[in-house]
Amino acid sequence: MVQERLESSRIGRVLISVGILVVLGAVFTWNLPPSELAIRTQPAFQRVTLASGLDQNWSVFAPDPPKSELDFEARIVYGDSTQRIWKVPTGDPFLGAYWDYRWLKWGEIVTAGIDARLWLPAAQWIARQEQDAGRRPVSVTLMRHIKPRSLAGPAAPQSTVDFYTYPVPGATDGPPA
Amino acid sequence: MRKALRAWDRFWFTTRSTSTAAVVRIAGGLVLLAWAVALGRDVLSFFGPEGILPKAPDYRAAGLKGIWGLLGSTPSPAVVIVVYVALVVGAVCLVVGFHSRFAALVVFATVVSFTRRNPTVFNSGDALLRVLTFFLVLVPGGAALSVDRWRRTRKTGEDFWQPPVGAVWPLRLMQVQLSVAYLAAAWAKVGGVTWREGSAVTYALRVGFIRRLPLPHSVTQSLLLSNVASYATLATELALGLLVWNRRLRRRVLLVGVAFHLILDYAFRVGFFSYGMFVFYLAFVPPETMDTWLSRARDKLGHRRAGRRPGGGADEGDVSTGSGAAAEAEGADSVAAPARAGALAGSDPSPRLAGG
Repeated sequence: MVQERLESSRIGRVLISVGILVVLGAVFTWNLPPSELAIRTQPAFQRVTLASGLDQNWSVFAPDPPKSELDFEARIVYGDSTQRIWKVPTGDPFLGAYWDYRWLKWGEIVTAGIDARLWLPAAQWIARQEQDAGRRPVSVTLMRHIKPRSLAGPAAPQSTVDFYTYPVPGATDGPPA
Repeated sequence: MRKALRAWDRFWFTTRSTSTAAVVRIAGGLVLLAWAVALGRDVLSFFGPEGILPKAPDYRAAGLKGIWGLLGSTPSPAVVIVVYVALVVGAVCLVVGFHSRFAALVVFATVVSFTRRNPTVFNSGDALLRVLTFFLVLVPGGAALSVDRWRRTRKTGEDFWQPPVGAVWPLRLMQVQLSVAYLAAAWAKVGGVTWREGSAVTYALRVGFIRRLPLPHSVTQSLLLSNVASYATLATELALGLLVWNRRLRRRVLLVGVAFHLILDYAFRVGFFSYGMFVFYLAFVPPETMDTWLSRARDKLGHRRAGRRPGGGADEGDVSTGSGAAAEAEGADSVAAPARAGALAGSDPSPRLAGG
């Protein structure tokens, strides 16, 4: 009703027009490529853009798709020195693909090493999953599998890097349950 | 100056049938409901205090102002579940059009809250859905094909199936958003070497963890096919960003876009990205065309308006149906036909939108 009344009055259309301009400003400035124009205009709209959730990122496979693939895994060591490899949860390619993409995104960000603050909670969460399943891990090591992709000739060999180890506090020796 | 102001007024404030807005609401609500259901199994792992990110990022320290959320920094499991239930209930209400505007607000607030609480589990498609929720708050989606409309028609005796008219500016904003998104996507790609040399698609298809359904090895490894697909991707995104504003080309461009996103959805685990885009595509369907589609659907469902109308006789809906058929045949658009739209609005016996 309010919208209808606004739209049918001159002053209302002026007010809506101001709102339209603000939304357009938020959308356009946020999507500007890195430039002087972006630096000068984005701060003016940042608060509106973020408050309205209009921030967006269209750099999908851009500027280039990755030339090597990073896989995220964790090595769980139990009290009796046995080990198990934990993998990012994935579902079937049909319905499962509509929930597992979020885990894959998280794994991608953790593995990329952009923010090391993600490693401890990731390792703690994996340890907690183990404990909830009745097992007793003593450490969780986060690993990055690097698989280079080559268009011509054989690709460089795969490599694995342990990038973070979490010693589980209070872990007691003993076999996994 | 007056001419420009008149053009502005015509572009944003022309009144047309709210049928497109209603279908956008229903389709958006369905996609968001599916999105919410898919989130359910992991909601505590993603957002709970013992999840993969026990504390939300410190946005203020990062210099980002304006970010808010209902979940706060470290919500209890109970709060996470309450907000999640609000999202699901809000999405259901949005689909059926029950207190549509409030439902859209609830969905907007909850989707924003989840995406802010843990941004590490969301991709560009999820951001698109968050953007969609913002526009759904503005779109008068509950004005037609909704419980809200049904309740109103019970009081006023109006025809439920005759959509009221309303200003088009919220749908126009969605159209502009879609155009900008594709232009930004194309711009981001042309800066990359692999897109310019045509190898980008084969690199993307070789990323194993994001692959979804199988493609022949000969397709994923072929540099020639990659060239074609890479340049076709750039051309498609540019066309969707620019040519979608051309009345004659719009339908074809959008059909190419549908094919493009179906291939994307087949090949990659990108979640709800393609479906979110399709909702934005619907904003380009002229209301007259939508009226025609709905009229056909209603007839198929066996609804007979004439019998329920006082006085029976000629069905006023035929006015919009006939115009819709003509508009569809002409490939009419929702942008460049203000004169016709005005005429339609003028002759349309529908009330202006109310509620929704």
